[in-house]
Amino acid sequence: MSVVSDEEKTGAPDDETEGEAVSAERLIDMLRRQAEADDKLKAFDEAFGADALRACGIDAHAPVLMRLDAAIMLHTYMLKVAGIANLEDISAASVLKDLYDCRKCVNHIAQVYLRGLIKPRRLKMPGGAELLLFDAKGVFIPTHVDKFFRMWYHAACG
Amino acid sequence: MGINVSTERPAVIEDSKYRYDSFKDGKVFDGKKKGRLPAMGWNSWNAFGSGNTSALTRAMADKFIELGLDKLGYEYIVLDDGCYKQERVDGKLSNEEVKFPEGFRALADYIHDKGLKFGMYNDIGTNLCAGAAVGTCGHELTDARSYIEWGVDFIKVDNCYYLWDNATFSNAENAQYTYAPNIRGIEVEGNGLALKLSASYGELKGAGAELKDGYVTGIGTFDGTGPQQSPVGDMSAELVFKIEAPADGEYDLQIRYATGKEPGVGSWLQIATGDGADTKIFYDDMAVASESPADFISSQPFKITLSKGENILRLMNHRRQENTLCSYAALLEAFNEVDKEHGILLSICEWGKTQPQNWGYKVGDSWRILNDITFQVGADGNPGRGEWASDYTPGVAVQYNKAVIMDDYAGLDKGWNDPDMLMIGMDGLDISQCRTHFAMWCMMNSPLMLGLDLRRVNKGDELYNIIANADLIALNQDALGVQAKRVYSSLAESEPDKEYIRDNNRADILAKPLSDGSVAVSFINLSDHEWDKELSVDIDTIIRYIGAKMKDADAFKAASSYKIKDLWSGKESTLATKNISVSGIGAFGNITLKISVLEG
Repeated sequence: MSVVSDEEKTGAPDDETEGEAVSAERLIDMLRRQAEADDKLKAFDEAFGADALRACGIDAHAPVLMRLDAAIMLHTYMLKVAGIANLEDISAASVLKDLYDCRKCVNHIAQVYLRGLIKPRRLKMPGGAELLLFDAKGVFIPTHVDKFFRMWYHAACG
Repeated sequence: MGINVSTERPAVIEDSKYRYDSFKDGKVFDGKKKGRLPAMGWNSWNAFGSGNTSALTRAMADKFIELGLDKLGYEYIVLDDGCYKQERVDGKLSNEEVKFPEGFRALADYIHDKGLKFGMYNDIGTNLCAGAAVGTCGHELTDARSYIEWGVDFIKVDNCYYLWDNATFSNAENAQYTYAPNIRGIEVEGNGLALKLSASYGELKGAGAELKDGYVTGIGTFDGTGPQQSPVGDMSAELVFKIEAPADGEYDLQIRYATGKEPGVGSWLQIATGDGADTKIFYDDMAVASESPADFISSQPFKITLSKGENILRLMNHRRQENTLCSYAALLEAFNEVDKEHGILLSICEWGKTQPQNWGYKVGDSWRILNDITFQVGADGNPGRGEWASDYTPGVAVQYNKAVIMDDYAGLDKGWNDPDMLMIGMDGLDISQCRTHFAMWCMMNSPLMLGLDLRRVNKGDELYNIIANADLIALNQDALGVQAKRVYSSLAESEPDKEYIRDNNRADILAKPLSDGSVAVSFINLSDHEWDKELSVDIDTIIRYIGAKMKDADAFKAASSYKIKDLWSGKESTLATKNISVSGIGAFGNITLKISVLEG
């Protein structure tokens, strides 16, 4: 099942790094509203309660959300709230040169990348070559947050 | 006196036992137990990731007893990452209260009451891999007290957020500690000697360094986390000069160098003369930084002493291995200090990064050889996913391909290569793959740590029949304690026991000597299609490879007939020749036999 439209190909890097960062609470709030709209508040509260977030190592009060934490939260929403199963084959995510830098986060990153929920970053090398990175410690800039919800809708509806 | 580690700087090493030059002396540190067989048990990570709870753990302990796994040798129940509070409480480790509300001592008691053993997890860095800021670095003694108070029998210790290497979540610039600067040349003066040598006059010893544009780069230990390089042979490089000294005495050494903070070019420099027990270290610290790895500067004069005649001058950086050894040693020594009779099993989990096959035996009971076998771990209600092979470290075959040629590093007087936890029962592996996975791990004397939700297993079902195969387990736990050797591979050119082969379109034959004088032989088809050619090995070949470790190779060789038991089917047969052959092994399948002398 593909949930990524043509213009949202996962391989297309996100060069919009100058947008506005968000706090963890802001993303949680956005996700909660979506869950409410989908009548999935109970699942959301179980997945995103303070204890659950703390267990994932996420500081819900972080003023600036890292891309890694965003990946964990979006993946959690995908699995536990939207009810979208993991992609089985994540090998295509190995184009991200830093995929394995965080060994406990590989599946979170791979799932959100392959679903097109968070786009990679492009690193230009001397000589013109380009590397694709996830940039886990980079600041998460939800330039196209509305797309996430649209994708979930499509995914949930098959 | 033990090693002092801190968060301020890499350990100051005053005792040569922590040095690279001691790695081959065969001596283990106080508190490291010899003679242990591979650990058997269950670890929470593959089954539940960070979502493990006290309730789930108790359920696994209950299933141990219900399934009789304890009778088969499985004994450790290990909590992996995700069980602590995010921060220390009054400087101490503390249980995560939602998932482990009753605390660790109560959970340990529950497990001990069932006759099982209790294991936990930590990290030599500042944080655990899942993020909690409760790594042991600088807290070894406090944490050792906690673990002993909680009744811990086993500790798996990870390597994330490590301060002195570019490990997972560490500062990438920590590479400065793991490689020496680029070196363009040296000057030695004193006692009438005035010698100026370019780097090209030196000898590159070991592996990984190269002479490039007039300077040497890559002096250090290369990273073994990924599957790219063989674990056999030299893992590090030195630049060595032979200096003819006119007299015994002190000399000034100046080095032309450039520093960096990246793999291949670092800033930490070690200067030594001699080797082995005769090594003298004259400098072991950061070098003054240059502008960039391409801007060479001259060092201050280092005072070194030389003997009249030829001297070996070594420019090197073995700190990647030494620092990691020191960090694990600090924890072992803390356990010794709290309870010198402790028997805590130390499972080193630095993912093969610093080539622990060289030093792990000194402090630990096993050492991981690669990054994780799966990154798609399960959760309650989700078995997670494993693979047979991949381009990186996930996959049964990936881990096997490296471990299978590491037998010389393992043994009862050392410890065991650890190709990570079992994935039997996870999605993505069929029954044939699971059986071969288990046979491989048993033959290789790998720790047998189950990684599935045991509530999915019932006595007599397919999963049970794999993990409870007593004949296979007996190979892993055989008292002789010898990892199988690969005696044949269809893709080996000349040395099947040494060649690092990553192409899985092949078949291997492993042989393992056993304490009753018999030999286990495993025929393994790693490919995704039936192996339609005959696979065979003769008794002489087996003895040539493993005879030195056999109980009585001569008797085995002289036998006129042999009893053969198929360890999967249980069928027995007689062999009256000197050649053992099989054919028609299915995709990813194995045939594993025990061969005993029937008539002498």
